Formats: sequence, C-alpha cells, structure tokens
Amino acid sequence: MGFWTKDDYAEGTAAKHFFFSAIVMLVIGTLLAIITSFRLAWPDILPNDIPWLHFGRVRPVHVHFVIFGWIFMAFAGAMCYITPALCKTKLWSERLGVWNCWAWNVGMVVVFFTLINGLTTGREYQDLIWPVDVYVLLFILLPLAVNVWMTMLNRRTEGLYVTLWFFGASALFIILTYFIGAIPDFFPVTGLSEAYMTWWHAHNVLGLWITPVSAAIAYYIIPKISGNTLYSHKIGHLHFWSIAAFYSTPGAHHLMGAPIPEWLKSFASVSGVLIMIPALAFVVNMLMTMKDKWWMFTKNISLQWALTGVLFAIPLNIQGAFQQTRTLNWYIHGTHWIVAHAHLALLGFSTFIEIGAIYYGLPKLLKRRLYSMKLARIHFWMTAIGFLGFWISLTGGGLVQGAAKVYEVPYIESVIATHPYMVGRAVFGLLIIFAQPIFLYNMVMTARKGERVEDDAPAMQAAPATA
Amino acid sequence: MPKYVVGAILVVLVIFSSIFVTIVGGSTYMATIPQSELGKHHEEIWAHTGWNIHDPFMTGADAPTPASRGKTVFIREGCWWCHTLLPEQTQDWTYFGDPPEAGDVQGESPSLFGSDRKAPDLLHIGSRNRVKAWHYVHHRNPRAVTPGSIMPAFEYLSDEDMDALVAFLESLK
Repeated sequence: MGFWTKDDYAEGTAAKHFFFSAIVMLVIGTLLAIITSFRLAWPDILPNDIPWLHFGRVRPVHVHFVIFGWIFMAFAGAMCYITPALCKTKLWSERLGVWNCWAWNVGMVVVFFTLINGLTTGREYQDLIWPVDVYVLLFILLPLAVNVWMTMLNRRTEGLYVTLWFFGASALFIILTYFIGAIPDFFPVTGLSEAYMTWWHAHNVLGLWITPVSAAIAYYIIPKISGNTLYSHKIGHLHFWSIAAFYSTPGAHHLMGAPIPEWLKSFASVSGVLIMIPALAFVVNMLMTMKDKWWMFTKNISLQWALTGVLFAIPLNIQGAFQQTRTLNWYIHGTHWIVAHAHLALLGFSTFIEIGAIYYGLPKLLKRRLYSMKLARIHFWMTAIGFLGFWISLTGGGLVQGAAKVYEVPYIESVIATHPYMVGRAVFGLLIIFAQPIFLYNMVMTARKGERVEDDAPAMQAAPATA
Repeated sequence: MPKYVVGAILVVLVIFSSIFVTIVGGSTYMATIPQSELGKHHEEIWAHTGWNIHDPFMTGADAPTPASRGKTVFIREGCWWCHTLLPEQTQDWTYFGDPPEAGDVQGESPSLFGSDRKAPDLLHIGSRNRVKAWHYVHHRNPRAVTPGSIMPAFEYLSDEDMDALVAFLESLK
C-alpha cells in the first residue's frame, strides 16, 4: 500500500490526466463518426478496398471510443476531482489514478486494434474478446473503484453527500455488470441465456453506471456553481434507491421480439416504466436547486452545459420509459429512432453534463482561467444545434422505417426513403464533430496560456461572462 | 433497531432478489429449454464457432465447416450491425419468415439477434434467395443488383471468405 500513497503526486494530477485523455477520446470518437454517418448516407464515398474504412468495422470502434473512452474517462476524472473535495481530504492515491489513466489509454489502443481488425465476440456492448475483458476489469475498472472507495473511507467529513453515494455504489455496480456481461465469454453460456446476459449488461452499463454517475456529477456542480443548497436530500434518496431497484432489471426489454419467456419481458417492461421515478426525481431536484438562480443559465458556461444535459433527460426518460413497452416497441424496435434515443442519452444527457463538469473543474485544477469564453460558447452552440438536427433527422428516419415495417413494403423502399434523413444526420453530425477539436484546443490553451489565478479564487465564476 | 435500518435492509433485499430472479432465474430457466430440430441443425454451424474462452483469436480459416467459417466472416465484417437474425414476433414474418422458437437458438454462440436493423433480416435468407451467383455479385457491388442499397461493397474480401460467407447465408433456411 505504501507504494501507492507515499511521495504521492501533486493533488489533482490524476483528474487532470483523466480529463485531457477523455477530451482526446471524444475528439477521436466523434471523428470516427464521420466514416459511419457518411457511409450510411453515401455508401461509396470512401474507398471500398480498405477494411478499416467500412461501416461494420468502424461502428464498434466509434461506440467504444465515445463510451469507454470519453464518457468513462470523464467520469474517472470527475470522481478523482469530486470525491476528495466532498470528503475534505486528498485522493487516496494520485499515483494509482495516473497509472489507471495510462492503463486506460493503453486499453483504448488495444480496443482500437482488436475491433477495427474484426476481433470481436459478436455481442453488442460486450464486443471485446475475453483477454481484453480481463484487462478492463483488472486494470481499468477495479483501480478506479479502489481509489474512490479508499478516499471515501479516509474522509474527514461525517456524512456522505448524494454524489458520493452514487460514486461508491456505481463503482461496484459497473464491476459486477461488466463481469456478468462477460460471463458468456468465459463459460459456455449460449442461445437465449447468452443474449439475455448480453443485453442485461448493455442496459445496466447505462442504468447502473452512466446514468447515475452523470446524475452524481450534476448533483455536485449545479449546487456548487449556483451557490444554492441541494433542493432535497430526500428526493436524492428516492432517486438513489429507485435507480438501484428499477434500473437493474430491464435488460430483457431489448429482446421484446425474441423468444425469451413472457414473464421476463413483463418484468423488464414494468421496471422500465418505473424508471420514470428516479429520472423525474433527478430532474425535479436539479431544476428546483436552480431556484432564483436561473439567470446564471446563460451566464455561466458550465451551468449552461450541465442544465442543458438535465433538460435533455426529460424527453430521454419519457422515451425510455414507454418505447420499451409492447405497445410501442413493436413499431420502433431496431429503427433509427433507437439510435436517436441512444445519442440523446449518451450525447445529449450524459456528455453535456460531463462537458459542464470539465469546464468547471479543469480550469480549477490547472489554477488558470478558461482561455477563451468565446470558443466555449461556439463549442456549446455547435454541439447543441448539431445534436438537435441530428436527433430530429434520426427520429424522423426511424418513424419512416417503423411505417415501412408495418406496411411491409419491400425493404429497399425504406432504405431509399430514409436517405434524406441519413444526409441530415451526417451534415448535422459534422457540426458536433468539428466542435470537439475546438474544446480540446480551448483546454490545451487554458493549460498553457490561461491567466493564472490564486489557489482559492473560483476560476470559472471569475471569468468574464462575455458573448 | 431504528426504523430506517429495517427499511434500508428491506429495500436492499428487494433489489437483490429482483436482480437474482431475473438474472439467475431467467438464465437458468432459458438454459433448460430443450433444443429443437432446427436448433440441432444450427448447432453444427453455430455452436462455439465464434470467439470464446477456448480460442479468442479464432479466425474464419480455423472454423470446421464452410458455413461456420462464414459465420466468423459475418461477425468479423460487422454484417450484424445492420442485418438482424430475428424476424420479430409482432409483425414482419410475412416478409422475413417465421420468428425463431425458443429451442431454435439453444447452443448458438453468439446468437446474433442484432438490434439496429438497417437492412433485411437474414434468418431465412437461404430459403428466400437461392441464387448463389446473386450473392457473389451482391457482396462485391450491392448497387449493381439492388439500386438504392446502402450496403458496403466488400471489394477486399478474399475468395475463400466470400465462399464461406455465401455458404453461411445458404445455411440460413
């Protein structure tokens, strides 16, 4: 243990490593999306004799870079920054955090080369072959959890704030979820059981990790920046326990059309609708926390991002609750509607909150002012407008596909009919993609040229609210 | 014992029992479903021919039959990101054929149901389209035989991979 805690690196080193790595992953992950989105709009736009430029190869790499690269590492950065702050102590081991971060980046290189070469299990969101699964569990997820838990055990505060409940629990949930999802790689589980475990994992990565940790970050930065106290800890309790109860079982709703037992579908469907409870509890808690401080929504860039993310959670959860019931699922299952919904969750809700957290935390960690508020605003509006256009295009395309499914027109007619929507998605997607390098540039320049501030001065609030 | 401790224990019990019932109960229940005749046919092609603990770096060339070799190509090239192998029970069987029965998929790994259908379902492609030459032309240049298609043109696939892939598609009766 002494190796990890003695002569430790300066406070905040791990968080800085994670935040910059996360932004680089975001840039790479979104750039890969140029290939996938353009291929669906114009299939012959890139050379066809290079396997690495084909949709089937690039799609999983894009998914892994934006989820396992960007979102997960942004979470790790936020955990390494927020956990010590709320425990009024330092991170248990900055050294472990930094090693964890580099292990993560090495892991992403391995993920890139295995998936782009077609080495995959063929199971969605559990695409990685088992040696990589072992690596992810031992060198990526476990060290992060240990760091968070040890920091919480060494805290100097009495109670635990809402954010810490989520951090501590989700760090355990993600390890369990990832392991259960990987069981079919380790043991001969086949057929329906394998499909069920695959989708249980796929959904619980969202339900027990991405959603609660995004919410936990919002629980920290929104009261912190607005200066209000959290509206209600009781609603926070409701959110925490109901997310663990209802969001841990709905995996089977991805298999509503498959021959799994009906009782399992019903169980998944009912708990899926009940997810409305934690979702609305969270949204209400956040919006009420902003009471009397709504003027800050347009003035403070971090709040602008984070609250937009919270607002995206409203359509997200209404869609999520009802689209997996039998009544709606038969119409939209497997269409672009679902792709739009997935992006609403990961890009709209989650990413917006994390970017808000980075605009708040990274300048503080660097003890500098944000390099350019103007670039931050451009980043926000390009991403927001790009995302809205992207989401509307995909949702529209999904409804067209749903109609084609019902009327059973020859399949190719639905492909031709969705072409304009694919073009819209690719063009609006470009706005999102080109916005992210601006983010990276702004943060690199903040680290190099941002105006230095004294230790305790709040870096973000002090920045002039221009443009 | 304070009341809230009792409450907390109850909540945790409810959470873990629901996870237990769905994961362990669901998986065990499904594992006991007997394999159908069709499932037995599929098993020759599908069972453990993908990537698993025994051979994580398996390539198409290592698979025992042309059809199972074709399945590894199908997975490697990511065909399953657009082509589902699951006609839905609700409405689309008249075009894509019968949805699978529970026993039909026992023994398969991976099951490749797919989630994001941007292309026709292929579970019964072997019965629907029996023209071998069509498959060869279609994979090299989809738009030559299906105008408006957005399928990738697999110009780089070797002849062996292509033979295997077509054998796999023909096996999907």
